[in-house]
Amino acid sequence: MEVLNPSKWVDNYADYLYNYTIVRVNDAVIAQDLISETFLAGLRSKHNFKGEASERTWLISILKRKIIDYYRKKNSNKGKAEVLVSYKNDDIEGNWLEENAADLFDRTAEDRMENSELGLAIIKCLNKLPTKQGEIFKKKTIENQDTDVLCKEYNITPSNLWVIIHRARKNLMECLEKNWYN
Amino acid sequence: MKLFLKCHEAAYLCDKNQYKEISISEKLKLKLHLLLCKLCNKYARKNQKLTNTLKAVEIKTLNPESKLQLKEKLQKELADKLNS
Repeated sequence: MEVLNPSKWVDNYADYLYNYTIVRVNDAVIAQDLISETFLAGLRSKHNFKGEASERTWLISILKRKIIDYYRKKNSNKGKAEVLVSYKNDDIEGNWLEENAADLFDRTAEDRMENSELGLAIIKCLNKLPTKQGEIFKKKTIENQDTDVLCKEYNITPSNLWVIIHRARKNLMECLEKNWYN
Repeated sequence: MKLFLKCHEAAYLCDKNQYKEISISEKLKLKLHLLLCKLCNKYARKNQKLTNTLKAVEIKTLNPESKLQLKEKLQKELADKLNS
């Protein structure tokens, strides 16, 4: 059975929740606020956690509600319902229906959602790496830090660094193979 | 320097190549090894796929300062809870 471990939440889930939120609200500051609220709400309702779901799933369910609340508030601030269909140009007569319908098959939006799910799968795999290996890999690969800088920071030689990167890459390939490509 | 690499040397160069950190002569040796070695070739393809995937999804990480702030907030809330 799962138990909650709030002191590890930030290290274990902050990046995951952040990526989940950012594609849904599209604003870094708001995303951070929502995550902070989620963690605090999680603490306050700790006693409601039954241990049936994983810690991450539980936090995501809280976050989902926070995101919905955020949109409700945003819409009520406007004082009116959001109009979803807009005529692009009133002057042009013709196939406005088809033009608007074409947006339903917006490839980029679909790609974005799929990419974000793949992104979450990758973060799950990254979190499974040994702490130092994961840290160094993220810094090198996602934040594009210099080899020299990283070697100094961790007090290791370049060949040490490449061994760590090699292990991390192999672990990731294996994990993604299992959880995504299949 | 020798022309033919050992497999572990090829893997090392292959990793470095994902970050564009190898010289032209190293790249040539790597290419030659990949032509000759099926196993390393397979690794190289998987490695490239991982690089492409990571590039395509643009994973974002919260910056360290924000994480620290979050941690402090949580710590404070935890402490308050214990005291109350």
